Amino acid sequence: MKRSANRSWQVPLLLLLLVLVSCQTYYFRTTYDSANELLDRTNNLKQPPFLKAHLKNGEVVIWENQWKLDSSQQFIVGRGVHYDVYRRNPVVGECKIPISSVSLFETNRKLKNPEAGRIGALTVLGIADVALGVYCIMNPKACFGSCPTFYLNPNANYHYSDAEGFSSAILPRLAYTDADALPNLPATSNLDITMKNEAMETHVVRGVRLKIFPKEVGKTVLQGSNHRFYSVNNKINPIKATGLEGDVLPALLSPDHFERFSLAHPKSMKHREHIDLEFETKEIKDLGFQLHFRQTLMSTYLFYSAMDDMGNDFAAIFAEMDAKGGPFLKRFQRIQSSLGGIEVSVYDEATQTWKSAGEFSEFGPIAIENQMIQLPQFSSQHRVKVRLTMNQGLWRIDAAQLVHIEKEVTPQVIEPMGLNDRNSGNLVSLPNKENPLVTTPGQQFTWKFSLPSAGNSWVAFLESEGYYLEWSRSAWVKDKNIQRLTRMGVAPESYFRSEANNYKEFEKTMEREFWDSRYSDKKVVYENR
Amino acid sequence: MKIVNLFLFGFLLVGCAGSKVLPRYDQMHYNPYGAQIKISDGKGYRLQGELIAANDSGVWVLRNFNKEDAQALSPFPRIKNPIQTIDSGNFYFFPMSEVNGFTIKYARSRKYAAMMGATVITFGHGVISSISFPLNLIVSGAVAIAGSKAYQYNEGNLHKNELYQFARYPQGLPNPLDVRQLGNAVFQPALVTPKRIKGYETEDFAKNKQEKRGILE
Repeated sequence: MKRSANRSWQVPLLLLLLVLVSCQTYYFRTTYDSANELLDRTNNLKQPPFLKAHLKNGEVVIWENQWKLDSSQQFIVGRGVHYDVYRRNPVVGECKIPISSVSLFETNRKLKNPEAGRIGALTVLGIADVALGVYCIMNPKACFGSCPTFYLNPNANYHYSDAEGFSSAILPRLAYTDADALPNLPATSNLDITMKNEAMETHVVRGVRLKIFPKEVGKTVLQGSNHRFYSVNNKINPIKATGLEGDVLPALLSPDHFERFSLAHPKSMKHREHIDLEFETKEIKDLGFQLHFRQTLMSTYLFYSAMDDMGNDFAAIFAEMDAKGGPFLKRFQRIQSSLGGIEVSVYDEATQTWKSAGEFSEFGPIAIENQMIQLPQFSSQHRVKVRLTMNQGLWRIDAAQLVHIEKEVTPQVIEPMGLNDRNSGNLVSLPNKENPLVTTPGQQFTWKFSLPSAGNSWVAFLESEGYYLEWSRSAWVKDKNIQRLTRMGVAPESYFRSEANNYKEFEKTMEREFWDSRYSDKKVVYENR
Repeated sequence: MKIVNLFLFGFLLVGCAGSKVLPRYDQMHYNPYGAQIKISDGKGYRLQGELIAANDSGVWVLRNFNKEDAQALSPFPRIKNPIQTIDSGNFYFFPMSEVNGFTIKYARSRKYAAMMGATVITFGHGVISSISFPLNLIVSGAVAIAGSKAYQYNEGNLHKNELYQFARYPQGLPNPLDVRQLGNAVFQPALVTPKRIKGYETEDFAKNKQEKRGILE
């Protein structure tokens, strides 16, 4: 069965191959024993053909199409090339040949686009490659994948995924619990959340649950970068935001997917940049800094480059990393820590220094994280200045706000009531740490929750726990480069410098198309654009 | 493994397409040399090289000097070798009565096999590269094969009595002819395209022509 499925696409390919290989035969050459015959056959042609006169002594004269046959004077004249019998010493210019010296005339009709078919096939292929490349840029999840995605609307695509789970848990030993905000729950108390495996990965899900808080007027609940929850109020938008490209304020005013991002530095993938924000508020007690953010595809690029370099050792290295931790795991983690998260600092007017508030470091390029960092004590007269320091080209910022933190709050935990396999419709037993749910590409499951009341009366967070295993690709096997992989881990600075050019090429198209694919009607805050 | 083989095949095709003894397809009309021919007697003896002349009695072939040998011998030594070596040892005669099959190639295509290298672009397709990569190799490989087989005739579409049309001397071997002075074509566009020859418009040509080609005027 599997064999016949494999053959189903081989047949059209073989047919295509046959069509392409089958060669057209061109008939373009004619020979004439006499000048009269040549004159008769070529007289009515709109454009004289190429003419060769093979002389009796073995020499040859070639005219392109500027030749005349003078039958009364018995010669042919025109600009051409005259070769001797051994085809040496070509003489170029006006060639006047007595017809009596010619043994044989040969005409060659110029072929019209003889390469058109082959060039056409390659052009079609090239267009298809570019189109697929653009598709992958627009749908990185479909092409490159990463971790399970969760949807309130089961028919939505990855652009509209509401949450993504445990993005950095690439091994069992790295399994962790990840919570993402679910912004708009429907008005019903029975809530279905669809989980999809849209990547070439095995997802091992140990559990999924909701953490909910009752909605209150003028307030909301945010997750801190310390993974605790806080009730906050009085959101304050920035009045000024400046990045390396200048004013970036329009992109940061609201969480509307109109994001600010920059391109990587041309000299090194590791290069710090700042965004300076200013807020107008006199109440500076218990301030929190809220950020909507996600990563660009830089981390995906690095992850896949590393796996590419592992080649056929991919499975062995991952097994070693999982069993012992091992040097490769440390190197992986060194890469992550080397690029860093988004550091937040606030300007203290009293000491005239920037005071560190903490760091956002949630991984994943798909779902937009919404987290908060509590600002430290600082002094300010009118304006609060916040600085974001991060690796250039690594982060997309959707919105930045100040909030007043009211108190830390404890969620009500809602465990799922049931689990359905969407493909078969069958009920599946709920997973736990010992008996996790294992999903493969294409599988979809629906988690069924029962809320205490209508969903829109709750602020909810989806918590997922588990890890995923990347599938090895055949293309990776041939590109094994342990030396480069080692350099990535041992000397990341050098690696980031040497890889900058390659990444810039990839990034140029990737970021542009990704952005244009969705937000073409909006202005983009973008380096050099 | 199959993919590696395809790449190796591509590199072989690149090598074939780079042959300098044939003009490129868009310059073949200027070619003063003969086409490349491969002749077989059907019993194991084969001959290849430039077609110098052909008539009812047989085919004269000049070996390509960049190749080791023009002949392939039959594995059965009792079968008589029809190929006759003439004078210089680089010039051969193959009797027409012994011609069983032949291939004539009169021009070379573009170097499509090099395009197989462009399949690396499919690595940007992520998991879909497991389909797009072999597809690219197959299509670009097929185009390369088609390119390498273009501009050919064989016994199926050209009668052996018409072989002379693709010879360097379709009128027959000139007399006299010192076969030791025969050389292969080395196709550099400047030598075969009148418009590209340096000094084409200068007055030196007329003088040069008078001196070297007095017989013409």
